Amino acid sequence: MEDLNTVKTAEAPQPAGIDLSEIDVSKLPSPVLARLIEEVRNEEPSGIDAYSRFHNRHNRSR
Amino acid sequence: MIEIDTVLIKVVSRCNINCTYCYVYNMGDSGWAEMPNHISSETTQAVAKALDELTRIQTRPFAVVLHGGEPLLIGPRKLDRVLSELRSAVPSATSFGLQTNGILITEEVLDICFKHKTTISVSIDGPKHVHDRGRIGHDALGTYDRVLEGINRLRRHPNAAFLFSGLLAVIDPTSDPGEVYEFFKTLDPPGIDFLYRDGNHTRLPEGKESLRSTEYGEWLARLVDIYLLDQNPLPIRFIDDLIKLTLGGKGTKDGAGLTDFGILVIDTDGSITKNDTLKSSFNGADRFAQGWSVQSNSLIEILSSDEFAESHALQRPTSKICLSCPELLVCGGGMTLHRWRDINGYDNTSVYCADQLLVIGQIRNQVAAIQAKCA
Repeated sequence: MEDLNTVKTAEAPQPAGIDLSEIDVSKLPSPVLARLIEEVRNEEPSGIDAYSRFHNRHNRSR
Repeated sequence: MIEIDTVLIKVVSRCNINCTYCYVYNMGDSGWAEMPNHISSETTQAVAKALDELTRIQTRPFAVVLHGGEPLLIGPRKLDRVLSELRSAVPSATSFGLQTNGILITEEVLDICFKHKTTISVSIDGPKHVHDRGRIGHDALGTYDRVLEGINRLRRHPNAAFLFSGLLAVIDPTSDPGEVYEFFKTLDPPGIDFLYRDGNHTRLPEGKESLRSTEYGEWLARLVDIYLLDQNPLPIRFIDDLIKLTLGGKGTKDGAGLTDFGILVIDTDGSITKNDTLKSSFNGADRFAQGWSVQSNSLIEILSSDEFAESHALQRPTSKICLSCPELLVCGGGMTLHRWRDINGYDNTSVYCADQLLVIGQIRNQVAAIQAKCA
């Protein structure tokens, strides 16, 4: 078995900072991205459906 | 005390099908064989008392999920009694749901679930030729036709808008993600979630050639491309979580981001276990040394214990590689079970590390490209 320690994190993409306040979601060509930006802007912490082997609709307002 | 987000109740320990990749039955754990087939009335009453205690010792709302095995093997009458008993123990706003393979969905079951405000998520892996590769019966035949019948019955129910909470699929990396996604859209669920196949560093997941290979990451990256440009998208929970985390938001489940979720699992005999997905690590991996049960122990005793806290902490990665990774806040080290290695436990990266990095990179590239288009 290959040693996990040889998987290099240097291969990881570097996170780029995104300033959501400058994005006009109405101009985005991606409905998914527009929705998720709004969700992050209005995010309320909730983990009540946290178990991974059950799928609940994760945004009831949609 | 650890606060709980999800109480997972195993009402049935057996399953009417035998998925090739199942973490409960086909990854080395045999704990299910010692459990009662169904939860008893006495155990249900003890679980209800535990839920009542939980509502008194924490302010955080929690969800109740019926699971198995296949929870609908309990039968409609007993399902009615169990849900009635458990519902009476918690505030009416408490979210109730069950995860099923869909085969035993009947009008009666749907009416009972609606009566007790319990939502239903169905496990299906894709169109027939994809689903039937892994989701087979004890006769080794595919289950697609029977599952689809159940889903269609659910969709036709007058209260389907409430009842149908979504679909849960295990990724087959040899499938076409576009075909799978378009197929799921035809079923018109409120959302879909995708899971990696279970596996670890000692027993690689099916379809993954090596730690460096990226079969699952490539599959997800192709799905990201399709999803982000879809003008009528079907929400995909796992990808949504990864995107939101790259945007600085929060994820909703373990397996993405640095999570702190409280999961309480109760088996059919009333014993309290760790997150049951750990069964895939080794036989008995989900068992607490203390041997707690809802019949013999109070939840405050269990949730305040060092052993429960240690188990809870497992969801956060400890590997030095993870802790120095620039994508730690998005990836979160993946799911705990995927970090297992026989010689050093969970102190490893996810077996899906390379896949996670690939799909996160693709999300970042696509999000940047979309932003650039409208700048």
